[in-house]
Amino acid sequence: MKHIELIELIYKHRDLIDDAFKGEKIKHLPSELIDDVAVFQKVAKQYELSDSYTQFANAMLKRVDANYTFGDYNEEIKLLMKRKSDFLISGEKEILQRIKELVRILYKKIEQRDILINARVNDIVNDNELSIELIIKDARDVNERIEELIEAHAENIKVLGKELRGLDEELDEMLVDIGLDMLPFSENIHLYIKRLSDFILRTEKRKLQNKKISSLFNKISKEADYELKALLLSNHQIYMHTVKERKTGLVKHVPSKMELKKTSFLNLLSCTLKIKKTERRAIVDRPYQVSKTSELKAIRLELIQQDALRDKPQDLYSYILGHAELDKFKEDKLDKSYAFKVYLTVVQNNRENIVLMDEKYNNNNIKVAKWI
Amino acid sequence: MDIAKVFETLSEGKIISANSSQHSDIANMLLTDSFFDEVNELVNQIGYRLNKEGGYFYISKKKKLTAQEQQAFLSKNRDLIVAIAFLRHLYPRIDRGSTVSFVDTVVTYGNAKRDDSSIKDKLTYFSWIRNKDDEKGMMEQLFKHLEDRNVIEKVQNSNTDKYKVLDSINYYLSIVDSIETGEE
Repeated sequence: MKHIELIELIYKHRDLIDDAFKGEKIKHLPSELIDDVAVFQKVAKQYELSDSYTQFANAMLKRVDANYTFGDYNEEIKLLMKRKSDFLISGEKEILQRIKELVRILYKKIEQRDILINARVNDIVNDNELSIELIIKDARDVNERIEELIEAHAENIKVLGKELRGLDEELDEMLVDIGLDMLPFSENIHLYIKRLSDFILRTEKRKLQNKKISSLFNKISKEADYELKALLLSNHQIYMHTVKERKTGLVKHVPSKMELKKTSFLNLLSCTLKIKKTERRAIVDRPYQVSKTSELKAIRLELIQQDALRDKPQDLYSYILGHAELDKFKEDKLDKSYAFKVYLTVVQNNRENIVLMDEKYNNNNIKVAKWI
Repeated sequence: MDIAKVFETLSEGKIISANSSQHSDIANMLLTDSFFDEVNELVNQIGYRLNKEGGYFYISKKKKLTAQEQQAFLSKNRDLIVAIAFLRHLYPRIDRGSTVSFVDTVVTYGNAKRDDSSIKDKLTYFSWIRNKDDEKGMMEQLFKHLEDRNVIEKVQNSNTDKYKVLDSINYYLSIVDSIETGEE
C-alpha cells in the first residue's frame, strides 16, 4: 500500500476511527482496517486503536499521551530502604553519602513531577481546540493518575520523614529541610485533583447544555417551543424586561387599564413623588363686564324739608319714615336706613329750627328731634 | 456615576455584566449591597424589580405583561438563544470570559458546515437578511446583535475582530438549563 492510499483509507473511515479515538467501543470493523493496515488491533475479543496509531495521532495533535504516568518513585524508595539496612550493618560512611545523594535526587524528581502535573492540568483546562468529549476523557485519565499518586506520595513522605531519621545528624537536618519544602507539593496534589474534578463537572454540564440548546433550537425553528414559552411567561417577573430596548430609549411598556384610571394614576404618582400642597389662588381677571340695566333711586331732600317746615313734626325721624318719599325703599327693606340718613341731613341743615330732646328716644331708639 | 445614570442604563433593557469593561463602573457600584438596595427600591416604586444573578444585573417587570409585551419578550429571548446555540455549535466550550474572533468564526463555520450542515439552519433562522447565501453578512449581523444585547463586547474599541463573552451569557444559558425538554 502506498502512503496516499493509507491517507485515503483513513479518510474513508474517519468517523469510525474518530469514535474509537474518543474511547467508544467498536463492534463492526471493516477488515481492511485490521488486515491491510494495523490501525486497529484485537484485544480480548474487542477492537481498539493500535498503540502505534494512537501514538502517531497524539504526536500530530501535540497531546501528551493519556497513558503517561507520573512517577511514583517506588524503586527509589526501595533502594533507599536497602541502603539504610546496608548502612546499619556496615556503618560505612560511603553508604551514608549515597543515601544523601539519593534523597536529593528523589526530592528533585518530586519537584519536577509537581511542575509537570501543573503544566498538564493547565493544558487540559485551557485547551480550546480539542473536542468536548476528548477533553473530558483526558481530564478523567489525568485525574485517575494523580489520585494514584496520593498513596505513593504519602509513602515517600513517610520514608523521608521517619524511616531515614536517626542515621546521621547532617542527614537529619537535610530531611527536615526537604520535609518542609515538600509540604506545598502534598497540598498541590489535592488541589490538582479538585481543579480537574471541577473542570470535569463544568465541562460535562456544558456538554449537556449544548445538547439541550441544540434541541431547543430545533423546537424554536419548528415553532414548537412550548416549554420555553411556558417557562418565560410563567416567570416573567424574574426575567429581563426586554421590550423595545434601544440605545437611546428608555424601557417602555404599555400601561394597563388600571394604570390609566385617573385616581389610580394619582395614587401611583403620589407613591413615587412627595407632593407639597400649595395654596391655590385663582387670578380674578374680568376685562369685560356684561352691562346690566340698573334702577337709580333718589330721595328728594328738598321736598321732605319743605313738608317738615309746613307740618312741624314732633318726632322728626318717625315723620321722615312715614313720608311718601321713603316708600320706594320699603321693598328692599332699606327704608329705615335711608330715613336715618335723611334725618341726620335734615337735622344738620336746619339746626336753628330743630331741638334735640335730651334723654328722649323714640321706638326706633333714635333721639327725638322736634321741629319748632 | 450616580443613581440616575445607573437607572438610565438599566432602563434601556441592558444586562450589566460584572466582567464588562464598558459598564465596569456601574457593575462595581451595583455589587455594593447598599447601592443595590437603593436602586431596587427606586425601580420597585415604578413597577420593576432589580435582579442580581451570578455576575450580572437587569430589571424585570413585576406586573403581568400585556399581550404586545409578551410577544416582544418571547421573540427577544428566542433570538438570543438561537444566536448562542450557533456559537455553542461552533465552540462547544465557549462561556463567560472566553474570547471569540469574528474572522476565526467565519473559518470555523466553513469547516463545521462541511461536517454538519444543520449549522446553517441556525444562522438563517436568526438572520433577516433576504439573501440566505450571504453567510458572512448574516454572521456580521449575528455578532452585531450579540453586541447590542450586551452578550459580547469588543476587547478593544479599535479592534473589530476580537470579542469578549460577558457574564450575561449565563442569563440565557440558565433559561436553557431550566427547561425540561423531555428528551434528556
